[in-house]
Amino acid sequence: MTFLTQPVRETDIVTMRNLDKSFGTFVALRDINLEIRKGEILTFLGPSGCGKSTLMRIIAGFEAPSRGELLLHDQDMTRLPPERRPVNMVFQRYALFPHLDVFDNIAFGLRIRKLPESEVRTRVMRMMELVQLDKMASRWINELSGGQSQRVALARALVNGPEVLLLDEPLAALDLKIRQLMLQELRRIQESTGTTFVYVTHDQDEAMILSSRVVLMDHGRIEQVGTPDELYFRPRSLFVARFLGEMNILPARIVEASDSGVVARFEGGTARSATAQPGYAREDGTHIAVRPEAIRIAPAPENAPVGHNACLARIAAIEPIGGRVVYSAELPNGTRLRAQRIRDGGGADFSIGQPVLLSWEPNAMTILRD
Amino acid sequence: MFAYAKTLRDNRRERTGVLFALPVVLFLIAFFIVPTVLLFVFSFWQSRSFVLVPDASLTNYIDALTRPAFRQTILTGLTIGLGTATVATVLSYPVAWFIAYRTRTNLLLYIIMLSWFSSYLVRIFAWRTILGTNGLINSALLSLGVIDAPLEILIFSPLAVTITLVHIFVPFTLLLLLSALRNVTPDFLAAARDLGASRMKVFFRVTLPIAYKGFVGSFMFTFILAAGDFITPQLLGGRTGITTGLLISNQFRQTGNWPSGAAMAFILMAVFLVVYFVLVQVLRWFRLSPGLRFHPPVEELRAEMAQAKEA
Repeated sequence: MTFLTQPVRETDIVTMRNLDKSFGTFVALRDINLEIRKGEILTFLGPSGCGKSTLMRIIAGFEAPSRGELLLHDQDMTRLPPERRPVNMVFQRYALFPHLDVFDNIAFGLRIRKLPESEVRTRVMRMMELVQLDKMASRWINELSGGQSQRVALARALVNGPEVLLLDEPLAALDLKIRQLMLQELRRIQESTGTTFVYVTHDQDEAMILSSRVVLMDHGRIEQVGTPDELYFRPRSLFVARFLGEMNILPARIVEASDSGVVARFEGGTARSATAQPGYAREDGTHIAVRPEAIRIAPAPENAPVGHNACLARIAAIEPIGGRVVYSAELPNGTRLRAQRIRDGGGADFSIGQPVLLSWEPNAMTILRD
Repeated sequence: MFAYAKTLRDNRRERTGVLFALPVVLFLIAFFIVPTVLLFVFSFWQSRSFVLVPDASLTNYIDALTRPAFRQTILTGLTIGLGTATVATVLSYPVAWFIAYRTRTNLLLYIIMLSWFSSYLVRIFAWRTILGTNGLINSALLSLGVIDAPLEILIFSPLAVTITLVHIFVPFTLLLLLSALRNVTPDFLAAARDLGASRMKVFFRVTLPIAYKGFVGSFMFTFILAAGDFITPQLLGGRTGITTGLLISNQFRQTGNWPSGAAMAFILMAVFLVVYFVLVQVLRWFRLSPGLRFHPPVEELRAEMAQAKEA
């Protein structure tokens, strides 16, 4: 195992190097290498049990890693207790103190740090304005709605001016309408304060809407780090391809590999990549992945060769979903591909049992290893 | 009378509630309120050769308060009560903390609760054999050569009474604290740490205010029962360990002077109320109570902000 020792970049606030965490025999995190950049919204995304919450708790200081180090700028903070880290957290169930009112909840951190009371007041008032709670200062916690509690929790953490704000599935407890509103609110607040956000969620839509970068995790490992578009359009593993959105995945075998690209054969046709795929050789097993919205459907031509990135199929099912319709088309071997079309009024363009030609652009396709 | 229209269902629910509460309310009226009122009336009467004579004088109160022996018993009772309540609460907190946050089983709780299964008197006599002149501690210290003569302070003293009462009340305080700590979820503690509070500050700023009722409850509960107890002081208190409770029971059972005993009982009750009031005020003073606001009303804050902006 290689240990990374490059110097920390100036824009990196927190750097994680070779972090491992196990609880007894259960390995929660393996070899995490990641940096949190100033001003970004970094999302930890993954199915439950993937280690995203553990990683956040390590950054907050509630858990210590079993191995590896955690740097704040270029200082080691692996063993620093939570109260001495310049990070603050918004808890999933808010954890607002029931014995204090809204104002005193938000003032808690500043008063612990013994700031002069006049400054405490100014900062708390300004923060309450930012999260639009200025009329709620004297409300008790049990008098707040879910969305209001969320704002108090956000204000209580943000008022301390943390270098990193950690948000642990902050919208999970809210209903759909308020969740969408809060998502916009989070964006607005992040932009107006410029605070670095680390956001944990299992909801890919939240991650896609909110993030500058997404860290997709599975089984304690980072599967891929990148912008939402990179993850969506350029998944680097089958897991990433399957996790985000819908994806058609076909097992294939490389039949041609050159500097200009590869050709892979799947049961029913061939696919040619648009760009070079380094590391592939003839006879390598692989997968090709195409999104339903990237597949075009046309009536099957009679006796014409289908060419690369296309295959003949037969419509097996039609699912209209509001403004779009998803066709399931069956290849001769029984595999079904899903293809999506936007509906411009009227009924379906194809009927069940109809032979069709499915095709896609080479750059809309990803060639993936197992 | 009510600002909202009450539905039939509300009425029914209310009636069911009253029905459930009724037996206890009747019981308390019959066996607590009525006797207390009677006792209060008696406390102004006189007792002449074992016969109660109606009167309306404060003689009984004045007599009791001017007797140095009585004042001494109040002090002894307060010492034993405050000592027992403090030690029992302080000792059971770490155990309650451990059970609430560190174990998933209640085994420890059951083991401690087991001491309840033995009789109160048996436990008092057990302490007599431990603390007595020829008891476990003295003979051990003697044979080790640490002391030359048995320690008399160990038995028949307020100390012996306090030790025994702590042992008796720890399961109570533990249960009360534990159920209060269940309201202080680990999230609250983590949030406080995250906001910069040391473990010490987390306790005083978060745990104590949220579990306030548990702490005050277990302290007052133990204090009242310990300060008013008359069985343990009788068996282990000796001459210096006479408490007001013992004195009161003597007035009723041996002297037969009910009015005097009643007056003493009400003086003791007043003392308990004062202790409760003082405790609550002290906690408020140190800002450890829940429900306090530490900021002026919003309008004032707004005005303050507006002024600051102008300047």
